[in-house]
Amino acid sequence: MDFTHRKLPRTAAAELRRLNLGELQPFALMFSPVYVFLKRNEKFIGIKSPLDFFVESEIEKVRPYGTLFVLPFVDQVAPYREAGRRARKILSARDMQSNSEETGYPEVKLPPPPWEISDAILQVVGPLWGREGKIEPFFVTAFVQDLCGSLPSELLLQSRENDIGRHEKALIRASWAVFLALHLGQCDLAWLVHLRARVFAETSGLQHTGRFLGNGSDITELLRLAQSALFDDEGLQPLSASAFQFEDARVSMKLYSRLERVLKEFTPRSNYNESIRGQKGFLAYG
Amino acid sequence: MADETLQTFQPPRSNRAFGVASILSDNCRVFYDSLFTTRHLGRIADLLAARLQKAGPDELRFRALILFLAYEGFRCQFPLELQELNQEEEEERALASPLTVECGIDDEKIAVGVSFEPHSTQRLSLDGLAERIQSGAPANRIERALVQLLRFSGQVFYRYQPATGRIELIALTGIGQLAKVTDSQGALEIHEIPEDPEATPRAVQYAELGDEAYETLLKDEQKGRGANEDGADSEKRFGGDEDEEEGLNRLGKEKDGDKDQSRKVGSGKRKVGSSSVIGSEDDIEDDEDLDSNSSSSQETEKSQKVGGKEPVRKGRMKVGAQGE
Repeated sequence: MDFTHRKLPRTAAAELRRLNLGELQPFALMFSPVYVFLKRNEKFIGIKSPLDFFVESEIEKVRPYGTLFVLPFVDQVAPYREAGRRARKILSARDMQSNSEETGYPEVKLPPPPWEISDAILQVVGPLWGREGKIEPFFVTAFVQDLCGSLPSELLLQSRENDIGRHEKALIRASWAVFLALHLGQCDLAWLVHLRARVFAETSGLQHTGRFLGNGSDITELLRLAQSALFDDEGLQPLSASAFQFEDARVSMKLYSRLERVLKEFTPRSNYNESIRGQKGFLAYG
Repeated sequence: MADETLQTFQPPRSNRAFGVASILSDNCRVFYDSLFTTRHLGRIADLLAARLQKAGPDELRFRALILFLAYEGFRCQFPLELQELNQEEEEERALASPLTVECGIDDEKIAVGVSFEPHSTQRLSLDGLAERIQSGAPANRIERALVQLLRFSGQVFYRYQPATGRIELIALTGIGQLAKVTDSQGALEIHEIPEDPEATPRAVQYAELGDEAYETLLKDEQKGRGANEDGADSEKRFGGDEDEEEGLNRLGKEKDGDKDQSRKVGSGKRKVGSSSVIGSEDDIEDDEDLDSNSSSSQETEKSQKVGGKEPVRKGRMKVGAQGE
């Protein structure tokens, strides 16, 4: 993904964030340009763009530098990633079985019913739409990365190798599909992980050996919507909740009814209003 | 004196689209939930029954429709040899995609529908289907389900999209004046959905069950389960740590206040026709100007109608292509 500042002066050190190599996981997506400091040149040089990832050999290659650096933009991304982790925790609710000595028989505590999970999830994802009811797809990708975890390594490698532009678009589109599915109340983590991998592979033009998604229910319309929703070339423009209002597809009508609630309840007091562009982002306007 | 048995539901708005809204009139509301397991089916029936209680459906029949359709929707997605699973096997088996149960209501009927892609071992064919149903000789699991469904539905729609293998089963039960008249008529309509289906006609509202005031609707059960007043008990069930719980609790409390007072589904009242209303009067919004033109786009080429005004189980039904 393009970013404006390929090189940064030494004075940028005061603002950059350190990324310890020990914390770097192979195949984890980067959500900021990543820099190393070249002592001889006294400059920070960008070595990874946003939405790229390190493989193990690359991590070994940068190890001599000791520390990597990222833009303070990661602070803007952090709340979306935190929201992804919260959503993951909600979706990870499992049966809990406990042996009760009081009753003398094992008690099974059922997980919450789907509508409660769906409601709790909407309370997490609703505020992400920002005060104007818009969200940039890049931040959706960050949210989904922490919700679903890393994509299969072989898919990521092959996709990046084939076409980096298509790879980034696939990441964004797959995340968008998961984000919309959550809004539709399709709150099963394993299925969402599978949905993401499937859309990613298809958009990248790769074969995915995972199970078929099926043609039942709303899935066909959902996939069509995920394909068509990102209109611009790079898929970076903000997406508006109100865009679904005039769509004729049943899935759009369902989504808009949920987004009406989002606009009424969550966005007016949302603290999320971030952009990859501008002074705080990594991409200059224009 | 008018013959009551001649009364029927209004015709569908589209026979070339999926979704219960296509069966209902343009002032309908649709409630839906996506299921990955059968575990909470009973509670979904509880919630929908509570939500539509004021419309006065035959509640037992309504619950039976939900359970039966969901049951078939799940089982038909598995290979034939695995359709009779024990509980443990079923819990381990994941659906290819969630089963969405839609429940819609207008001023004369409730429609319950599921849409799914049966497992490839299910051989589906519309050829001779009406005759097989009429003669009580269903050829496969889905056709057997149709025969059973007709016994306790006012009308059943069977939609099949050959291009994708997707089917949709929708069962109707009458409310208000049509409750007694139509609930034992068992008419079956069979429609082939084209590869590029029509857009589903609009509903006044689509409501995911998570957006409903479920805590209020199921209040008695919540008390029975020992939930406390502020809903913190249910939030703890998600297993979050203290810090993460804070956010949920905060949102949950605000939600409870808002939801029960005003966001239930709207607070105005809508009158449909002279006096009938959809669902609870308290829940009817008045912010849209609907026209009541419920023109039907009945397709004749690929549609079959079985029964209609006469019950299938009595063997007196009419069989033939609609419009013939």
